[in-house]
Amino acid sequence: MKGKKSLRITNSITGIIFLLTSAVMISWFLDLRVLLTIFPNGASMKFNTALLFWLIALILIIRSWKKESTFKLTIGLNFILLLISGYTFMEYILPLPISIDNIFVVDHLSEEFPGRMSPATALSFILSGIGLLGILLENKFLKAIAEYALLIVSIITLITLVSYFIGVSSDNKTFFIHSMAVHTAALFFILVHILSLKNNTNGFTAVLLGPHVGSRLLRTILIMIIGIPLILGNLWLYLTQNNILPEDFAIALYSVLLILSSLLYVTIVSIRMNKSDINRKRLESNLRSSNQELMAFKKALDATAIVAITNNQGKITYVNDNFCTISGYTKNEVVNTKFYPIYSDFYPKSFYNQMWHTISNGKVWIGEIKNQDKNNGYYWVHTSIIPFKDKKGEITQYLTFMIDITSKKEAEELLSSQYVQKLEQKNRELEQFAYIASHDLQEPLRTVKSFINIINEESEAELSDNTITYFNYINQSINRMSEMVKGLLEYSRVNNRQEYEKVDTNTVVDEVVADLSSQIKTENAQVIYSGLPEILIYRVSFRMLIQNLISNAIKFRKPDIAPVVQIVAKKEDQFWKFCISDNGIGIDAKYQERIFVLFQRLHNRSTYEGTGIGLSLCQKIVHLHGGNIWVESDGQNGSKFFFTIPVSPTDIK
Amino acid sequence: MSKKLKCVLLIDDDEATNFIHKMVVNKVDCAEKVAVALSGIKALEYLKHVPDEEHPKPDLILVDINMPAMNGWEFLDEFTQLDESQKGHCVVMMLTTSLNPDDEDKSKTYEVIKGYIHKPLTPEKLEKIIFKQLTTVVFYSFTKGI
Repeated sequence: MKGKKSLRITNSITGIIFLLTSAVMISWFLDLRVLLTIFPNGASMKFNTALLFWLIALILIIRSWKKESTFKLTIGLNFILLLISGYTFMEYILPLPISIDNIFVVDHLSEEFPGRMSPATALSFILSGIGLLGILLENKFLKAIAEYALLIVSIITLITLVSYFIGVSSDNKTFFIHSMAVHTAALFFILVHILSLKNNTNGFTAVLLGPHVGSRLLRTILIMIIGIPLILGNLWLYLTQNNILPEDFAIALYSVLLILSSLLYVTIVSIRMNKSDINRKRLESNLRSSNQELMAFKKALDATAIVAITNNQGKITYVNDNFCTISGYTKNEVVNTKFYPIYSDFYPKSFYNQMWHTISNGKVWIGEIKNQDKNNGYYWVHTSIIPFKDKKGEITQYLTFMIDITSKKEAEELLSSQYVQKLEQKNRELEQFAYIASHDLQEPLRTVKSFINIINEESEAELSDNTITYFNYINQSINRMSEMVKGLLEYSRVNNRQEYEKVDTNTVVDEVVADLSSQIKTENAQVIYSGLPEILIYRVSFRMLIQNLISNAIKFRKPDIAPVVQIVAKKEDQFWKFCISDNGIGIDAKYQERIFVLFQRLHNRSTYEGTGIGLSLCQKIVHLHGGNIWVESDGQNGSKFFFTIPVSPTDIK
Repeated sequence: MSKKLKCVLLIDDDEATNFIHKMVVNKVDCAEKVAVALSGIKALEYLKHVPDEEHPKPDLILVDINMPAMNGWEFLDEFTQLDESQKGHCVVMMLTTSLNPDDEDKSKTYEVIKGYIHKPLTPEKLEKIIFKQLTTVVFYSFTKGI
């Protein structure tokens, strides 16, 4: 109602009053008459009057700083105001021995009571002082009294002003008001309304300055109420004083003119009001129909979706019935709270922070979320959060619009968990199959081998050279198959049904080097390693991995160069990266992937022994740890086998 | 068999297998010479060699699929790149233990492959091949012989 604009206006008016009264006071000191009486022979604004106005303006200015510390000061100033005006008023009634009228400046202008303000002025100051007290103390009772005090001041000054405008000679005025200067009255009139505004009650000034229809009407009519009687009064005085019309006829004319002009004015105002009323009704009906449309949308929304509205702080201001049904909370439980209760522990806090970040930047957030209901159950909703902005582009509220997709999500989850189960089962079957097959295959092999040996021993003398050759081939094949079956058995045994251990990998390499000591000695090889890390691994499998890689590095040597194998490891991001390098024959680029495939070999058995299982096994072990394995080689000067092991393993069982 | 093939080339990394297949060829007595290559690379070397007593052009090549380094398919890719003179008029057959039907399907995509035989090679299987596939070659050798 009383916006910043009216505050600015009152503040600047107060400032003007302050300056004006300062000027009057200076004029008194300098004896400049212009400012003191505006009309010739009219009453002058006394120094004390100017001083008291100045005090009121000062109090208002100090108060507008809104500082606690100035409270006592303003009360003190107000007390001085009441004291001076009260004393002056008492001088009219009681024969007081000391006069304060000329204590500041001596009045040479006025004939009657020089330097003393009129009783009306004094009374007005007293009442204004009371009004100010109400404003300063902010007491409800005092405020009510202040409003009445100010009303009385308003009436007194109005009478003075009207007398001036109608031109009543100062002799005909009552003693009470006759020496009040016109600018004093005008200042009072303005000041009273400022004070009334500051008093902050629904008094006349508040109504007058209000934005509503009634206030508008009051403002329009006020011009007439004040203006017409003033003009007609002036006319009446002129006609009677100059004896143009007899007084009784003048009254009749005055009444008729007053009635007619008022009627005309009110009619014009009424026509204008009717027009705006018609306009308003049309707007209202438009509004109603668009409201109805909105209501229909809302009804449709409520019927299909879960709707919640939050303010720009994220506090819930509205939820619909669907929200209550699915979340288990009543409207009263959630309104004015935030969404925290329905957040599920399914997501980290950062998830919700991210969401808030998106919407608070004015963007729409759309996604599927798992929420928690009152009974700690879960439900899935497809959620859209739409920020709404005001004219300035600032977000005022968020509309959250959710569709229940719990059954769909549950079906998906069930399906995927069934797949996982099936997959796990198949994997177990495969492992079991490989294990049993390789285990059981050993049995007949051993039998064949045993019988070959028996034949060899029993009939060695009778065997032809050809038969001996055949037996050699048979033995070779049996040995090869036995090796392969053993390899398969080993391969199938590598699985995650073991526990992670924190292991110093230096000791693992120590053990492997000890195991391979005969090979190392025969090949005159050298294995260099130190400062390998302590990491979380499947110990047995990891050892198998290292053993295969070192053994390969020595096996695929160049005939004329003694094998040198070097093992290093360094931390890269979330992984330990191991490198096992050798100075052997290297691996051609086109075979660098194939070597990890089961039973794939690059060399004839007569050149390099092997089953084609070793590197597949290595790959299986590394993958089991969640890492990766690859080789780098130019195909001539040695190979570098790299593998990675996660620093913190994700144990997927 | 009235007329013999000049040469049969066996490509297999397993010596025992080669030994048996060589015996079968000799038993059927269908070739003057049986050459053996222990890998695809060795086989290519043989074919690129200038024909002489030791390296006659083969009329029949029996190739294994699963071999170290260069496997059967890779050998065939290289083989088709060879000069006509190096390839000669030979018939190429896959001879494999693979039970994987994908391999048999794949063999049909190679124009150069005239047959797909499961190991082990027996005299009956060999005779059938010669009767079915090599009559023209035999005829060719025969006419050339005249």
